[in-house]
Amino acid sequence: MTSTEEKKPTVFIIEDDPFVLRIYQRKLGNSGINVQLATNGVEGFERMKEAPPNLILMDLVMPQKDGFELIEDIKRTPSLQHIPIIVLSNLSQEKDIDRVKGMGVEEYFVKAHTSIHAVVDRVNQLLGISESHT
Amino acid sequence: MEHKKRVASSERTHEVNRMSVEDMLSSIGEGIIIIDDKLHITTVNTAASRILGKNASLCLGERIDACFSLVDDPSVPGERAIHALEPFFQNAFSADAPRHTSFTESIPRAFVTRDGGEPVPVALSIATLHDAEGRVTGGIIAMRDITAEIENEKIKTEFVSIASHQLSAPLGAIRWNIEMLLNQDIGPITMEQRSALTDILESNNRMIRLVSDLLNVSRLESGRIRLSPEQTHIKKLIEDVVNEYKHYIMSRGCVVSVKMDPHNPDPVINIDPILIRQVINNLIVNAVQYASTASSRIEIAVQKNDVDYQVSVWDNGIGIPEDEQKKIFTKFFRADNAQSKEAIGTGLGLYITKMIVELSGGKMWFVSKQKEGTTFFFTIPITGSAQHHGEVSLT
Repeated sequence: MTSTEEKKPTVFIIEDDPFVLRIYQRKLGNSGINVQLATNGVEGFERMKEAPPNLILMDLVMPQKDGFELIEDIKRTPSLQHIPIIVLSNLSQEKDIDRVKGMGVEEYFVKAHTSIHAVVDRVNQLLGISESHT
Repeated sequence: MEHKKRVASSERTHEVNRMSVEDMLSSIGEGIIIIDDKLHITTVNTAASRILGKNASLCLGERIDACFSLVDDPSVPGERAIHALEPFFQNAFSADAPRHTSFTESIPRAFVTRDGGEPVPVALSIATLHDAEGRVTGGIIAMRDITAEIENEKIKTEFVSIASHQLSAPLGAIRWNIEMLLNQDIGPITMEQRSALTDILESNNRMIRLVSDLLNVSRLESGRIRLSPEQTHIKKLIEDVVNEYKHYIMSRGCVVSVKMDPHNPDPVINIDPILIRQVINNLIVNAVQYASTASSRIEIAVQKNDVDYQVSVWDNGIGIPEDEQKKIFTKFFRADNAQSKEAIGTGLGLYITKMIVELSGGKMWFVSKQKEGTTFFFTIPITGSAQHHGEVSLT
């Protein structure tokens, strides 16, 4: 592993829509971030426990373990509970948003109502990367 | 002898009539309960005993509240049984109730709770019964099991919600891909490609708004919207919306001003700020969208009247043709002279706006003259909006 690889921040993405996954991969991967992907909460949780990332970006409606359960698991796990979480979901109901925010996530975006640039800006901000890649 | 025969015949006729009334009651689908003026049950038909989950004979002679328990919401513990029925009968059966006056009441939805069984949703209507002198002698309660209606409503709502959710996912993915193309993340693009991609992005965003508005219409129409009033500075709320649309307003060459009542420059009104923001938002965007090309002005004014606050949004835009004014609050309506304008709206904005205003306890209307402009008005009671418990919000 080179020293630049070591310095690259890691974002772990848990998302079951392959189209959206590809967008995250392309947009974040191109901006100097090490991107890890999982398509369901069970796999995502196991892999994050092995190698905790710097930031978690996740969907809510997913097979096997949904986002609500995954956040609970993360917040119960000492090695993961301090990692900032961005939730990106199509659920746009206040009650879902309030519930998730109450679980201690940093940001909630309704996918279709948010530009990809806003997502990348927030990722960079939470990772402490000042330069904007948009 | 003659007299005796007449009496016997009359009794028989009475008996026959009585039989047919009971037959009729037992064969109709609605549950019927008849009570006397002491609230004792005198008749329970088959459908009613099915809804109550009790044999009719167990109820006969009982007081109505001993045999019949009605609540607004079975999930709320400790709610009073019989609720609206009690004050109704108290009024109707009181000694000073006017004669020859029918008392009626309908309850569109309540639940009959049963010992050891699931509550049954019902729609009820209640009316008083009278003797020949017009005195109240009792009451009749008709109730219909609405389990199937509620189930259908739920299926419809769930369908709209799932369909919208499923539509949003690909629309969101399209949006982000176009944004990346426009940002040249995937490679350089020509000016013409940029122009085409910008059009695709705008159409796609319109579709996203449409899905979101359709979902909102479905929520408003189903009456499940939550309204949580709080003390709100309406002036700041208006200024926030104007500020949010600053660039759009400027790009259309509009000048927007906010005018407050000099006697009441910063009123605080008890409203749901999120819902009323949506109203103001829709009216401002609408005014900007239908502005005439040059020197467009928009003025938002708040005025305090005797019983309400009145908010008006005035513009000197294209106006609404007189023969189309009646349809302006209709779903998907767009006036003829608005067709040629770039259609950024979904055709649901004013419909949603009016529904929110009415849910908030106010009224909405407009005055308009073609080529001169339009003013939309809405009111909010001085006492504010009433709280409305609902499980969903607008998005």
